[in-house]
Amino acid sequence: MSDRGSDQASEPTDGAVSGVVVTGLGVVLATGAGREALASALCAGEARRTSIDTSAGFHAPGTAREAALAQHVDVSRWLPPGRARRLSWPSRFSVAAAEMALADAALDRARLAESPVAVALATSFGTARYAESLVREIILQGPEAASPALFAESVANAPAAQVALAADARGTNVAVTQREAGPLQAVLFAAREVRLGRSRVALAGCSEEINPLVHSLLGRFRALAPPSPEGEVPRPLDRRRAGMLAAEGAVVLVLEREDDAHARGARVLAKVFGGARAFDPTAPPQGFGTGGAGLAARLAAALDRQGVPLGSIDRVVSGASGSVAGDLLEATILRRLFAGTVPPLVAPKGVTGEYAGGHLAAAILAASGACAWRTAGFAQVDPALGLAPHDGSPLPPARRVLASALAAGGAAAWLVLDAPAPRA
Amino acid sequence: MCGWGEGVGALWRGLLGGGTAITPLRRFDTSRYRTRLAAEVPGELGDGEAPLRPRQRLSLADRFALAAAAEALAHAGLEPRRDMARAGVFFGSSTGGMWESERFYARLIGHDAGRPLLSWVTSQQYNGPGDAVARWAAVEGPVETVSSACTSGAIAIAAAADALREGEADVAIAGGSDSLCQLTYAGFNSLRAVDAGPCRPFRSQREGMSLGEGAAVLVLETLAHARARGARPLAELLAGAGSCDAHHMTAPAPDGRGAVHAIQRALAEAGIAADAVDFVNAHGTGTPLNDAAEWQALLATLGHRAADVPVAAPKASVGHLLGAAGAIEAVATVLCLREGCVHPIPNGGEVDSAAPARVVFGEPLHDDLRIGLSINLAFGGSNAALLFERWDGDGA
Repeated sequence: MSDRGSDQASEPTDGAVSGVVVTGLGVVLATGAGREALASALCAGEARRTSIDTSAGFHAPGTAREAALAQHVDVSRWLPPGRARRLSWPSRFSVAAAEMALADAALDRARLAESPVAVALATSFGTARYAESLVREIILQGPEAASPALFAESVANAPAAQVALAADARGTNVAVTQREAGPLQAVLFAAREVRLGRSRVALAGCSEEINPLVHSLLGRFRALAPPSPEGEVPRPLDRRRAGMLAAEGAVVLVLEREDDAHARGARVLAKVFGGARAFDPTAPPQGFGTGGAGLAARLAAALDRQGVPLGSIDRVVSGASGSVAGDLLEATILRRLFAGTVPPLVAPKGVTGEYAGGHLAAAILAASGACAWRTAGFAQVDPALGLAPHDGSPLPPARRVLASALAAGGAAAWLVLDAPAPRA
Repeated sequence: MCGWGEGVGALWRGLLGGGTAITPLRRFDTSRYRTRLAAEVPGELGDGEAPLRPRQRLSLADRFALAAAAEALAHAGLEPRRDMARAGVFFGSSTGGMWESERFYARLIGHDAGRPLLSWVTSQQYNGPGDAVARWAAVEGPVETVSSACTSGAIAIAAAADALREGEADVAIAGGSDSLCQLTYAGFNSLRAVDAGPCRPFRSQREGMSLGEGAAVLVLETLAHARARGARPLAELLAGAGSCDAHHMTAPAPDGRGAVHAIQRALAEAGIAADAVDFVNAHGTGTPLNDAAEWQALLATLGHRAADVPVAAPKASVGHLLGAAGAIEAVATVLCLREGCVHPIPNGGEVDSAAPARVVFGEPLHDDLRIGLSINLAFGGSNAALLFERWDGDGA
């Protein structure tokens, strides 16, 4: 990489993102369609858990039977049923969330076509139902029974591609597949496309489908909160936490250049100020490691280089999900980063669950002035964590939010979001 | 890591030899498939049984990735687990550990006898190969996996370059890995996108692709970092760019418009004119639609020179590595620049009259090659273009 290549980015910025804002947010989650439904659920501290179909017999005894499913959500306003029928569930969620986000951003669709729109959508498990159906056909009926329609939608980038088709998005189109760190990484990827001038607008986020097979495997890996008298409650950062709640749906953000947004008088939800990524090599493939000190050091160095004083961060939207080891790692990083004095912290995965991008959407809501929710599922401080989430009492609106996401397998990503500047 | 075996030397010898590694597939029973061929990794690493015994929890794709990464780091003079605090991993994979997952599933639903072992799906996700490399090398910087079908490897390399340029890392282990599995083999057969014989890119009789497997890895680093440690670059990655056709899930835009956009953007970011491109490493799957669209894209971007620029298509030799295709073709592009030689496209048949006029068939083409363009087109309309320049010494 010679100096010529660095002409596009005049100074090393360590992934710093400047001049990129969020102007639209589309949400299709178990809590409903739209960000208002998510905001209400976060304020109420209520997850919407549904029994998953266990009739295939995949689920091991004693493992979870509930998930935050979203297939009941009516998205017909954004995706006509006739078109939806031809799409996998992650593609349906994604297209609907993208259309919702574009409408939320009040972007002129005709003008949108003037510049290639980038798409970066994360997924952990892809179009699970289609892929499983295809494999099942091959195994039970033979390869000649394989359906071309299933195959075309079985690729991980199908949702990103379907969004591109729906929005005529001709910029870079990727599926980011870095497990739980994927949604924040997708935002960093898309923000870079905008910042480097490759696209004036980008769609970024996440889509996920939790089918019985995926759910049963997560249960077998002991990743999910098991049945208990209170239900399968994820308890982020709580002493009694025993696993997470798997969630499906999609969240899509509209990112655009800050100057463009101001020029068209757009309402800004948040500014993508910066971010960081790191890896914990002590992590096993399906779990979390013990390298909190290293991750904290990497994050601190990145924030320092990006000009983010730790004292400027006044809200943490934690990716803590109720995972025993994951939340311990998260707490270790945050305590080290903030030298023990962690800003008010909310952990929305007690409501949103893991995987569908609800955490990302909650981070945008936090940066755009939402109240500081109490963390659903949390009641008892874990002395091993030395960290308690905010109790839900009133707080001033956040000015700068740090969103964190640790992935099983070792990857980590963080996003720094600023509250929108007051309009002149 | 490819059908020619393990190592860059094996790949280059195979490419130059003008033959093909596309042979009868042994990994699984193909008697009920329309086609029976693939470019399978030979030897122990390609043995689908191996991960179930001594190296549990690693998928075939993981092991391909590790082998390629180990070779790349050794070639670069870098040691895994040392000085990796500012190193990152950027990987592409389209199916991750799908081969192992299929076997798990066959037992889970009772089709195959035996207990479904959870260790078979421990690394089944798309991020398995990249994570395995990062874990092995003790990387502490950014780790990002993209799964955009056949552009995954190229987009991962482009993303790595962005991270280096922006100072997020000093070193990037970038590439892709995929193993053959029934899902993709049956899937492409169901689309009738597979040639019954070895694929014939840019031939008039072409009938489709041939699948392959393997992994390829480049070690990218900033020039400053390479200079500081006294490393000699193999080539310079000038630019990487992506785009989307927004046309169809499985068919490219006939006019190649998305590929045109990716190529033009890569040229613009590199700050060079199309005239500077000395050869093209084409996606060249051998499907009628892909090759025609790709040729339209080359006509649109290279203009009057399209008929003169040599075009290579490695898939006729190593098959289509899907998520690793962009990576192994990037390696081939660098090798072409280093050796001053465009490797030939094997297999017979008439050249398509609508194909690039200077497709290199039969024999290697020796030439003074300074800049090479590598292109990939994918399911979902994703496109990627990488531009490499031969390294002629540190003249700066």
